Amino acid sequence: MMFQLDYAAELLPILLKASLITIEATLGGMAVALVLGLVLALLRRSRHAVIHTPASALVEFVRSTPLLIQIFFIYYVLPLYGVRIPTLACGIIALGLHYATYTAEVYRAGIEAVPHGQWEAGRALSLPIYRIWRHIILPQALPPVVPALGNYLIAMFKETPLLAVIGVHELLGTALREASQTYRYYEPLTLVGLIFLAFSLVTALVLRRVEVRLAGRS
Amino acid sequence: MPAAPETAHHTPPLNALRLSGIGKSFGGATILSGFSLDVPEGQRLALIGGSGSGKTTVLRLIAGLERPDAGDIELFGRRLPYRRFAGRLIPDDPPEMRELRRPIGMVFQHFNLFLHLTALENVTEAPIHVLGQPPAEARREALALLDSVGLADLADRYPRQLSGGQQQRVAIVRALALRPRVLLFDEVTASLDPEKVAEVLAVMRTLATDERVTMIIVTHEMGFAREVADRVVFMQRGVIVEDAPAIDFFTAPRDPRSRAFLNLAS
Ligand SMILES: Nc1ncnc2c1ncn2[C@@H]1O[C@H](COP(=O)(O)OP(=O)(O)O)[C@@H](O)[C@H]1O
Ligand SMILES: [Mg+2]
Repeated sequence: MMFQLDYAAELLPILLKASLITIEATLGGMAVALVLGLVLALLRRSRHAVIHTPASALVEFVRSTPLLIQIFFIYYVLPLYGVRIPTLACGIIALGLHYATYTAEVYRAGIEAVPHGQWEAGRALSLPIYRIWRHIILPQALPPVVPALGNYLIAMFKETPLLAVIGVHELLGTALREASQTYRYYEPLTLVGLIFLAFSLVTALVLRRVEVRLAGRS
Repeated sequence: MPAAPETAHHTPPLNALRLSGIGKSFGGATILSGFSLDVPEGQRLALIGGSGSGKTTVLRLIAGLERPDAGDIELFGRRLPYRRFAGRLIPDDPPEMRELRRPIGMVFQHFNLFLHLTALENVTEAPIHVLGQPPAEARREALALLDSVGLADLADRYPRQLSGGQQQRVAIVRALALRPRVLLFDEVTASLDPEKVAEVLAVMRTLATDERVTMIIVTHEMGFAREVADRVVFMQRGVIVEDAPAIDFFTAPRDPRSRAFLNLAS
């Protein structure tokens, strides 16, 4: 069976359009993961057990269950409690929540790498605690972990096809639908692979530039 | 040099600092127990003793970097609001705690400059965000202070672009920018190259002429302590062994352990 270029050419615009959904899900999921992960990392550092215990429990729970189940859960179970969310948003929340438990670890490593003396100097100067966090600790903790966060961005991007199970018409789901009409899988799947490859390479390149910029600054 | 303000003779001199019955242990090891120390306002106190005797712990308790397990700390006659909870002392009113401690400045052995900020930004951080000074004014004052320690030209450098002696001078200026009434120095020359020690001591010598600021100096530089301090407190294993006017301590130490320490240090 030969690879048919004209079929591929016909599919390409459809798949590129679907890849916009994939990008949307990735960027949305990453935004959630970056914010929620930081919140979780900060909560887990709290001295109060009532704060750090639930945060740690959530992290452990989410990490020990498959992303696929979390996607189904958010899509099917939340509406039973009256929470109605659009399908894509469900996917974004599921991806974001799942990856937040990983970014939380990355943030933790970054925060712990800031020398203890930075805290002590801030406290000895009577700086308010939020000021120490925001302007002393985080600006030193974050730049070194950008590469690690970036790797999770790429990893999350590659997991977006899972969202097809709840009917998000992302890249792979769209390709499979097309294929089911023509019974030709060679062209759609090859294109999907190439599009993923292209985006991953571009992302890696952008991340590299960001890293260089950050390294040059400090 | 401004003259010391005349105090009416019937008012007892205010204690800048009063530690009473302080207990502190780390993981079961008791470092301080029933530790008490009064420091009158304006005094230059040299706190000396061998390594591990608890000098740093005393300074950190005063600065609020450690919590006492027991006892009271008073600053300028006001008791710090600690409250007993589950067998430990916890800050009762964090904003008040911060406010009461604001007049205390601390300079560390390892400088602890903010590494992502320039020298100038290190100095202006607290005046702007603790005192609420307008940024332009804070910068002007910070530059004047940096100039007074010979660092005006290096204001825009980052800590890693400065020598140890320069970093420590910036750290002193950073503490001064909050207009402290008590300055704590924890072996501030101990991690400097020998040839940089003098430049930091020179800055501290100038500071010591300002009678309004109380100074507690932990140091191994006995010559400097002798020259600058009014009073010496010599500690061993968390206990004050000798507490004497500096002249007496250095010329005629009473306790044999003080004598042994001075012989070793000289
Ligand atoms: N955070 C800490 N955890 C455990 N032990 C500590 C801690 N800080 C100080 N110590 C111990 O307390 C003792 C006194 O230390 P320190 O106050 O640093 O003495 P000095 O400054 O006189 O050398 C030492 O035995 C030290 O090991
Ligand atoms: Mg020490």
